[in-house]
Amino acid sequence: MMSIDPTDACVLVVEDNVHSYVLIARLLAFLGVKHQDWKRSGWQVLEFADTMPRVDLILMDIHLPYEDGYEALSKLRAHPRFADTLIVAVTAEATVSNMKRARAAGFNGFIGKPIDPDRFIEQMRVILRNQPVWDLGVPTLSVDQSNEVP
Amino acid sequence: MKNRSATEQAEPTISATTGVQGGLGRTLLAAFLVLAIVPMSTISFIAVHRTRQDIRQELVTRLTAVATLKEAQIQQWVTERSRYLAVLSSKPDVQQGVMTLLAQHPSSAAYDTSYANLRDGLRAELTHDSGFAGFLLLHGEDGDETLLEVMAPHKQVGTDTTWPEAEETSGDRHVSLSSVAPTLDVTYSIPGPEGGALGLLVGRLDLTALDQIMTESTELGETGETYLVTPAGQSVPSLATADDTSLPVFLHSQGIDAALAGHSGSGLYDNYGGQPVIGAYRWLPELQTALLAEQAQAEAFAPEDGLATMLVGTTLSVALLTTLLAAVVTRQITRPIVRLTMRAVKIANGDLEETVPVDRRDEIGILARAFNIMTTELRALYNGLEQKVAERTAQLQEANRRLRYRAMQLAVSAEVGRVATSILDLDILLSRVVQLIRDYYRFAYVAIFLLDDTSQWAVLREGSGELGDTLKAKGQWLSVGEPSLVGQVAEKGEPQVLAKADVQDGSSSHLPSTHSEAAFPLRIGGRTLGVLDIHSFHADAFDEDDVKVLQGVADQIAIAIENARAYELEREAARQLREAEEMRRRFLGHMSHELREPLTNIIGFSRVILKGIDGPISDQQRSDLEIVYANGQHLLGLINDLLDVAQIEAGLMELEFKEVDLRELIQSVMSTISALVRDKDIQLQQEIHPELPRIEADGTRVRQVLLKLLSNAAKFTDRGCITVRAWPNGNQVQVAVADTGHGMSEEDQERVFERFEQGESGVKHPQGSGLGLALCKEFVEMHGGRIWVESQEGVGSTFTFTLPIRRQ
Repeated sequence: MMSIDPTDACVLVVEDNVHSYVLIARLLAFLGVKHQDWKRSGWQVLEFADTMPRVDLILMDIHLPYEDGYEALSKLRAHPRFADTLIVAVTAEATVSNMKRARAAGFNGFIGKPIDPDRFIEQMRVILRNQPVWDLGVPTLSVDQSNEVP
Repeated sequence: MKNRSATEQAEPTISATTGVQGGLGRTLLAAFLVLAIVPMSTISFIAVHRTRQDIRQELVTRLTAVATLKEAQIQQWVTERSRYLAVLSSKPDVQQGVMTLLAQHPSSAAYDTSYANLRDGLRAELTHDSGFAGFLLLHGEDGDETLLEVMAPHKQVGTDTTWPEAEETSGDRHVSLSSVAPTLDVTYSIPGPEGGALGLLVGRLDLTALDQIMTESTELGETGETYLVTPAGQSVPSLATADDTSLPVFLHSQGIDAALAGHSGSGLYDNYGGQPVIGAYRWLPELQTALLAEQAQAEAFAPEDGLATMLVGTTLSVALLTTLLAAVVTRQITRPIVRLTMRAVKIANGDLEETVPVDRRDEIGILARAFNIMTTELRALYNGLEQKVAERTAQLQEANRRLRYRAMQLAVSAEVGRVATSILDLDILLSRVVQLIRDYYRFAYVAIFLLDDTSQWAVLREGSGELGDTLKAKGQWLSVGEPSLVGQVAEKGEPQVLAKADVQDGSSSHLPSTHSEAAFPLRIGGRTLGVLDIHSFHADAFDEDDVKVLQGVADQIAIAIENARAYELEREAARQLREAEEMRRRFLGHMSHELREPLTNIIGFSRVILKGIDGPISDQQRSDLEIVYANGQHLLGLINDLLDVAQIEAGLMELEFKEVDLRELIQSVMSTISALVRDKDIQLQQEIHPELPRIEADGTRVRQVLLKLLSNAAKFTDRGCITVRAWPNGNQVQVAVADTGHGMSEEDQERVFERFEQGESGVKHPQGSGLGLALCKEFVEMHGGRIWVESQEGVGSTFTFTLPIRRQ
């Protein structure tokens, strides 16, 4: 798969929390992604699979209603349309074991929540360059002084 | 096996002995024959030889004697005739007559008268048996004139009728045997009255007399003969060959020739007729004749031949007799030996029942007897041995059987033990155990009853074979204490054996062919868990040993049952534990999600706004939002720490080991920290050993530890410096974070790594969850390292931790 320019990329976000989606959408927009879609569950993705336009990247939450991200992934992979699509897990359950499980299940990458807006934009760029990202997320400093704000 | 080899070995022995049997007889026979024939032949030969010599000597002597006798007789006869002729010639009437004849004319009457007188006178002499065959009156000195001739007609005078020439007149007489014809003349001169010879009177001898003399009894047997041979080769008397073949005109033989040559002697030679003779010969010079006395060798040596024949015959007879005798004796000697040998061979072949008949009192008899005794001893010994071997074999077999049985018992025990320890599922375990016991011992049926919770019933839990399956499916409940073996054993807890399973206990009715039964309690700690019930096809199948061993097996089963039950309980506990753990995991996951999700949004959106993504904001708004953002971050840190601790508590924390460049990590963390000390008079220093190796560790967690230590240092240090040192130390690296902050009391130093502990200084500066250092300790120790603090109040603190270079 070739590297895709963010402005040409079609990104599908599977996320049940609307606020989380809005944050991601806002960041993707900031990155320059024009084509993006949102589904609340894997099931929905499959339902609209045939009518959906091109999809280059799916950012999928693991913690989903009805079925978790792993089940959704296996169903998507079973569909010819998504067999080779980049699917990256985005989850708050950012543990080593979960990352291993995600890798074994067939995810193309892993981004731990909370999403760090500073890093997320860069992570998206890397992924769209078709380079893997396996990131549990930076341990946050429990200090009262914040990091430098750009 | 042993017998076989003995028989195989005996094969050549038999043939060898058989060879000896024939050999012995033959050898003896040959020896006997040689012994008989050689001396006898020698003696015979010597005897014959000596006899022949004697006979020859005797013969020669006799022949010589005969020859001498004949010679003497001839001499005497000739002398007598000569004397007679001498007398006759000196007679006056003869002288007168001769003178007349000489004086008168032949035609005168006187002459005639004288002639007639003389003739008649001489004739008268002839008839007078004078031994003469004729007379001749010769006249003249030379005697060449015949005056008168008178012949006796009937008398033999020889073949020659001519008179020999009267050549000699000097002697008184002249005797000659005619060389032409065998005639013998005696000549005398007739003396005159005045001396001088008137003439010669020749008397021809009648050879009949000579014949007579020669053929007279010579005592030389039938073939013996004496004869004279003239130098002309003519014989007197005339000879003839035995078979009437014509003789040569001149006779020749070794004897004749020798005699004619003037020799005398004797010898063996062929006579004139070619017949081998023994003869004596001599030359008679007076008669100029050879005299021979001969006898045919055949006759002469007849006695000797007879003797030789007799001797040969005797020798042969003796040899024959000896042979027969030898055969008999040999047979006598060898037969028992051969018999003995054959028996010996049979015995050697293993037939010790053989005996040798003892019917002699000689050495062979003794040998046979000794042999019999030996055989008997051998037999006794052998029988004893066989019996002993049989006994020992039986003992060995029994011991072997026992050993095998013992081995089998051991194998069962070991196998049951193995099964008991390796199989924890009670159903599989019991099924295997009954199968094992039945198969090893070949029992008819093996069952295991377990007591129910009330201990009122013994319930069939497992049975071998199809019967077991059937009964199990049907359900077999035996009440504890009932008269059946199982019921009794279940109640008393002691093994019991029934030699004859005649008590119907509900299961033996299905086993009509079993003949004994044994039941063993499955005991543990004085408690009876159940009963091991065994049925055998054989009566008295369980001896004391079996009972002990099987009780041992039963004990093992009991332990196995207990183990299996304990395992079951444990497994249940473990299952519950796993379930609880799973619940915790799910709860933690949920908590993590639920706590972080809103915070993510708070932090994320405030960051989005701060970044100006949503448009420009005022400074006041920025300042406020930064507070929101910082507090969000702080809260997230707390939550993360809490979740980490919870994860550790739940045993869910796992490290992800990778190769970590500590130098890089330290520099990265230092740059992060630099933001924290930007407003303080603090110098950040790092002293990293140039040979600091890369380590195998979870980089994220190490980074967390370093961040925590450095942020703490930054937090509690107002001025001075914060130094990070890192250096290798054996098979680990050591990292120290030193500050010039407030320092800690010793009491604090001891508690600083405990959870929710911040120390006095922490109380004064109530930031952080109090979990940070505890987490650091956890992480370091999870790596196999150690963390500690050295501090002095008012001077500063040094936190040091170690990490193994290689994962442990």
